[in-house]
Amino acid sequence: MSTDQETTRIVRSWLEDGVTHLPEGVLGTVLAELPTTPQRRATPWPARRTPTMNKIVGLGLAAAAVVVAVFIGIQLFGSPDGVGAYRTPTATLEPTVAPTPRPSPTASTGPTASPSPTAPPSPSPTAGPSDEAAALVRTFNIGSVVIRVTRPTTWRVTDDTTALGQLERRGPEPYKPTLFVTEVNRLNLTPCGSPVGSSSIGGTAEDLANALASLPGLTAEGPTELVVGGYTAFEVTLVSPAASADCSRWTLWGGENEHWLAPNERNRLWIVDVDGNRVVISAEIFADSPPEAFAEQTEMVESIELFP
Amino acid sequence: MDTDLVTRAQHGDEEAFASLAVAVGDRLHAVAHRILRDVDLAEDATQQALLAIWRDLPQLRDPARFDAWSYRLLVRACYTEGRKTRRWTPNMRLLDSDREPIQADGTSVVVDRDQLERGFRTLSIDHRAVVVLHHYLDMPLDRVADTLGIPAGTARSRLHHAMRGLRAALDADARPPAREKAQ
Repeated sequence: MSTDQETTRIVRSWLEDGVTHLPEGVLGTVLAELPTTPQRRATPWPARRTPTMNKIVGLGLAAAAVVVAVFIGIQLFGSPDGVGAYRTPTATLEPTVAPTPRPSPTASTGPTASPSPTAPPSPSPTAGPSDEAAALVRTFNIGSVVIRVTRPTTWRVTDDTTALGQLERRGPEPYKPTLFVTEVNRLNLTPCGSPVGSSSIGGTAEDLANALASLPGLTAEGPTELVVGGYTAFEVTLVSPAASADCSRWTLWGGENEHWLAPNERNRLWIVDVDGNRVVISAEIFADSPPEAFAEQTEMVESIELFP
Repeated sequence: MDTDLVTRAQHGDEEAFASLAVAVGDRLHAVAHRILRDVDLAEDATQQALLAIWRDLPQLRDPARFDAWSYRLLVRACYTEGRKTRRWTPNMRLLDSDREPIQADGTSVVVDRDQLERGFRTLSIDHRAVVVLHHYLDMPLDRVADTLGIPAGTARSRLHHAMRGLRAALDADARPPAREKAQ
């Protein structure tokens, strides 16, 4: 298996090869077209207002937003008799470091472990001081559904090509175990290689689970019905084979949140039906991943709270 | 980059723009070729990009940022050309007979390159652009992000995924010969 440095070296060397000179004909064509290509004059106002917004106005808007947020918070959570105390996360939640006293998740028992059924979604954990190690909460938003995941400190939040972000286990590149939440409406029915077309699938969680389990070229386990965050879900595990000359990646779905499997990858997917909203949770693990990563992923899935 | 030349071109000076185009043309073309992996498409993309540079130059607020801005327009042109190639080049594959034999030490530069070519073609233009800007132009990732107008984390992530894909492509090549050796 190539090392990162070796891959980088080979890629860099490979990129050195190739044309370096623009044919004169191209330049000639461009210059000949200049007289008939009018320039777009800059407008007197900025194209985007935000970067040049007056700082005082910006601060004022920010202060107003805080006041509105506090007011809404008081309305939702401030009822002294507890009525209306059910906390509904707002769509503006960001990844936060929250010293939240969360119950420790049940330890995983092995590769077949699945998130155990849990109680229906409870109110959000009450913020407050904790004498335990600070738990870290990552919030994902899928449509109107808010998903809260508590991660161990061995995991971190990263940006990702899935614009939704993901959790990633700290460790060496490039095959880091991941966990992310997304939505999937189309599947690449021939996952070997790059996407060459995709098909829409039925609208239920079970439809997607069945379609995933039927993808060719991958070994599938499930779907198995279970409960995640208090909602019915279907778990499917997909395992990719070793790389071959024919296939070295298996793309499950394309688009902005493209997702593909590397060789010898184990991808557990939980498709959750949150009051009719289909949410997909994905946990990737690789042949050389540390063994505890699997259990950590299971714990994270068990920690999930869902708010439709 | 000569900012005076940029400023003059911004004000419609065609001669200044011609000098500018000569100065940056080779570099833009080289980047386009490495992103698109096709000489004809790269020429079209470079041509489009140069015309877009001319057209939009008056809107460039800071002439000192011309380089980054021109790469951004080039990458946009590559998107356009890349979409064309999808329609008529579904998946280019090299036949086994085209490859050079594996050398005794198990390595082959040619095979590596074939595998990279194949692996690279499976990447989106987004991912290719990050790889080329970072590994070919030696741009630090924060500058890559700035050039492409994406968050730094996204640039990092795209590079990570792209390199993972390329590594997988290289590994795919490494396995069959190893099995043959064992037999």
